Amino acid sequence: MKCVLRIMAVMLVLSPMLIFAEEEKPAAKPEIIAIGDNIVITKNEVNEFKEFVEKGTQRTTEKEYVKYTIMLRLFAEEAKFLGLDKEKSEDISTLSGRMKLSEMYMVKLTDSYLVKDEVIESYYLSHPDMYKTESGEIKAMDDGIKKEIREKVLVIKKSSIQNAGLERLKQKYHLRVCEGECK
Amino acid sequence: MNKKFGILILCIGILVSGCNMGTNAKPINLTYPSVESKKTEPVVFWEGNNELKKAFEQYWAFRFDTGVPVKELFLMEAPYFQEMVDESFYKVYMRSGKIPNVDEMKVQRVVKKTPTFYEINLQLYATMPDGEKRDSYLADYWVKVKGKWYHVIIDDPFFKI
Repeated sequence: MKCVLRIMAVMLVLSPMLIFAEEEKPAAKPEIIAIGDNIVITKNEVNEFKEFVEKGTQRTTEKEYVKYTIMLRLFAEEAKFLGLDKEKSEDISTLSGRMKLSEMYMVKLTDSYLVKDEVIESYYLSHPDMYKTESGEIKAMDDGIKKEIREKVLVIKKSSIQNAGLERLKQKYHLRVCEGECK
Repeated sequence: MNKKFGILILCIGILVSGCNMGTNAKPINLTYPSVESKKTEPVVFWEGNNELKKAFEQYWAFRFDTGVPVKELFLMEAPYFQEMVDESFYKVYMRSGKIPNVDEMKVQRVVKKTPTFYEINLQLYATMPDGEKRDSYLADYWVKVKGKWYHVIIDDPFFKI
């Protein structure tokens, strides 16, 4: 009887501790932002990119952070797929690796972007003063001038080339951007 | 059978007539210097450049007629402009302000800068929707690429190209 009473007394003392003891929670899974063929993009990836951007003076909306995180990841995946990282030195699991790989893919995108002849020719013919020599004659449109005009076009088109590339890769990798429904 | 054939012919007729309609803009009152004044001007005029004159007149008729789709106007801009400027942005530029009623567009001179690049100086007399009369000067540019004349927008701060 004494023994039973002792056990009850011990339980009485310990019971508040048992009640308030912190439950051991399983590690929380990061929120999934987008999902595709062998690709899962989490909120952690977005936050990492956001932190990197906000170290500087730039800020943007949450929607844009998500968009650019997805773009970085898909461009990096495609750079790996195409073997653009010849030395295989870039690690896709790190932000800096994704950024470098993504840049490689962007170079490929702009290099393969077709700027039509009439675009280059019309720019050249519409700006005769830009191509005048010291003697006042207009320089013939050589490869150097063509290259210069092509680069001007590409600078302005960069964002639309990027967006078109992103859309194409979203389709290729069947990427679905989650709006609360991805598990 | 004959009835079906008749309907088919009718449909083709409607389609063909639709194709030939094109875009009709309200005519614009464009005036040119008299032969006498042209003689005194140290500039080249159209020089028989009927294709340029036609394109120029069509462009300005389209420009001030809000019933004409902006796409038609956009396709008349130089190819480099079409490539570098977003069409929706161009639409804002062309159609978002108050569109005046053009009373007269006086072509003052046509300058041949190069065989494929012309400058056309204009005086525009217009009435704004609130009744205000306006008189402005314009320098308009045109380029010939692969045999076709295109309008050129140069140094407009709205378009950073």
